[in-house]
Amino acid sequence: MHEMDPARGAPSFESAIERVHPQDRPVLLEAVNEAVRAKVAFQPEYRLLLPSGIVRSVRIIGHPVLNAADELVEYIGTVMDVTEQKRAEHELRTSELERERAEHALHDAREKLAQASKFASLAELSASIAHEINQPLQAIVANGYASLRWLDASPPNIGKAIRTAQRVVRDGNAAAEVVSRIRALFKRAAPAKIDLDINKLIVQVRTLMADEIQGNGVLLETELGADVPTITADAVQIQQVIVNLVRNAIEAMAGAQRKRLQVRSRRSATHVLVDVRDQGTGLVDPEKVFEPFVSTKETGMGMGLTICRSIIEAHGGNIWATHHEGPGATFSFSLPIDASEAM
Amino acid sequence: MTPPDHIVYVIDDDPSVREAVTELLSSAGLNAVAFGSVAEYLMQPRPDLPGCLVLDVNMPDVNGLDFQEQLAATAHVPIVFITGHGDIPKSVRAIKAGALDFLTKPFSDEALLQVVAAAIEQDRKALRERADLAQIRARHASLTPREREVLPLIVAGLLNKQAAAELGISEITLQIHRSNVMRKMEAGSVAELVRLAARLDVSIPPAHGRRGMRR
Repeated sequence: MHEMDPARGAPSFESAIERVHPQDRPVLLEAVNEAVRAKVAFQPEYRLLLPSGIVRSVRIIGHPVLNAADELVEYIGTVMDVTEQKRAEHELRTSELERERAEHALHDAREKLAQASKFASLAELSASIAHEINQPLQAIVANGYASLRWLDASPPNIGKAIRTAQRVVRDGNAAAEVVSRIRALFKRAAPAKIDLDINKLIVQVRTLMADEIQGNGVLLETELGADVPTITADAVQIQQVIVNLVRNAIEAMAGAQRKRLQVRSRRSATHVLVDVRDQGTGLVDPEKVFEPFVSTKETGMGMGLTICRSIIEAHGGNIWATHHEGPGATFSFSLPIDASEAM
Repeated sequence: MTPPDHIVYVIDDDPSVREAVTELLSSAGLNAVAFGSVAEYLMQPRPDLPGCLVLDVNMPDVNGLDFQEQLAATAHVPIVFITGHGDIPKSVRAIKAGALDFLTKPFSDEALLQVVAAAIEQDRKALRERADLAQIRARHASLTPREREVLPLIVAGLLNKQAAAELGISEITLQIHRSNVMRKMEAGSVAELVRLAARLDVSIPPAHGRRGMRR
């Protein structure tokens, strides 16, 4: 192990020390001297730098041999090669680090996805709103019936009738609370306005929805106007609008032969405009699609575009749809460049 | 107060809905108990009373439809589903799997009470059938091995003489066995014994009669 010739007999302590890696020599000597002084066992780990240039990791285990007078006679010990063990440990540490890094990346991606879906799936949002309102409504109706039955009993059970009537009031207020929370969500004054580069936002949406776009066999083309200025708007809300328009477009082209989706940004004298053009089924009544509970989708609640309109109008902008032969539809929205116009 | 002769279980994760549905059932004079989850329901000991399970389809711990499938293998009370939104595929699946009804919230008191009453009635019948069968089995188990041999022969319509010959015993002895069978099975007539035997799946080879005649 030490690249010594067994034929030349037992090596001296000095010649053994010579083989120790120069960097580890002081620490090793220190540890051994310390053990000798205290007459105790030692078990340090160090590296050998062999004449061939090879570095090996070893562990030396030395046990003191004492005579009857408790005097140190000698140390008996072994030197073990732990190079492989060290390498394995190092690899384990490295792979653990790598795993941690991968987990971080995955976590980040999930966060982003969660963020995206949090603001993206308006259809889901409206379904959950419906559920939130329906639950207290069910409770109100059932309690109302129960209250009537208690009153109708002979003799009437006034105490229980009052108790259930109170629950009707309580659940009615709970339903109103749900409604006001939803209103707050889309309140006109609510947007947290920041300087917003609409082109950057479109690129973000393209990245966020890349899987969905490719998964549906859609070819997305973006045409970003170089002269589009920064505006003051709520990035999350505007992102929500774009995601919703893109998702609608993807769904509209589900059965289409050619699935080309164009997202374009441009400017007019006073506004920044975004167009989302699909080659889907088109629109029978472009005016009507923004009305609540109007949906061309079988599973749609008809809330997505209504919410989009409320967001855009809260920013002082406009949103509209045009049907074109070809076939398909274009959804466009405009946002004022001068934010003071919005208020 | 007399002890209840039925029980309605309500499982819904929404506390106000759970409370309201339970209250509505109580106001109609029904004995209702509520649970916030399927796990809670399963943990609770359930009395052996005719009953009904009013189950919300969308539970946080277990999907109501999956739970229904799990229960299908056991002798359980009939299920009435309630759901927040009329989901047709789900309701079809539930009804096909034996659910009694699928009510969309908010439902009227009549709709719920009628179906719950029907469910309890159905369960009452099922329980009675199970109890009857257990009783008939117990009676059959009380027969001696020889009496158990005599039973199918009576049911097959053999005359005492023929049955005695079949078993190689005297007619008198057979008559004693026969009256013991009738008494232990609590059958007032041969026709009734035939009916009881049919529920027990006692095999009655039709060949018996003819073979007896030939002797």
